[in-house]
Amino acid sequence: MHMKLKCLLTIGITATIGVGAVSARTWTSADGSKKFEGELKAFYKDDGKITVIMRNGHSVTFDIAKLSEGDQTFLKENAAGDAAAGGGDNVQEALKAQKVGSKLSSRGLLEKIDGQKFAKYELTKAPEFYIVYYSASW
Amino acid sequence: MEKYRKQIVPNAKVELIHVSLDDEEADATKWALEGKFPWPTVLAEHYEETGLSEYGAFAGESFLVDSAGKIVTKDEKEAFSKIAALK
Repeated sequence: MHMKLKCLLTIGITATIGVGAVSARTWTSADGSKKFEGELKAFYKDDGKITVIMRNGHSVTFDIAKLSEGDQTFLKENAAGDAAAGGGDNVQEALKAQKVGSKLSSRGLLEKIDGQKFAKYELTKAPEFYIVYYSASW
Repeated sequence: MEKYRKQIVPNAKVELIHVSLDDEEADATKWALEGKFPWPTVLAEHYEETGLSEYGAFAGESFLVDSAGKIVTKDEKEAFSKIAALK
């Protein structure tokens, strides 16, 4: 196995241990021997690369050829044709064009649990729809 | 939670935004940690700024809105049916 992929998968496997649950997809290596969890941050269609936020919060970018056929199909079906998923800059541009997205992104009003507290968070996609869920501890 | 992981996270066309109605961030944090909330959250201090207060929702409610802010449905079951059809 390519050393870089080995390193990546090692990071991924390590990251799944002892870290709180986050929203993520389980990715599989091209030969099916390794799996790791991470959240898709960007898909650079022209370069054939993706950026994944690992469970430890670190971002890694790598060639999609290192992923299983199933993962590559997932990317092509769910992100390839969607300009909003084309990369961080494209996401921010697409969000700015939205009434909802522009408010959520440009002012940095979103947060997400990171460890034991909330931390600033940026959307990683510019969706067509939002489920807005209201809750309180009381 | 399972619906979020399986139907929202992998779908580029939809995102869940959680609005915390707790006045105190400490309460919101405790609530989120207890629930292991994995989703983006708007804390009460930013609620008005996001424009999401215009729906006048109560705790426990959820809406599906389009990117222009128009409510598509207030019915959770219908919302997830629409999400499933987006792929």
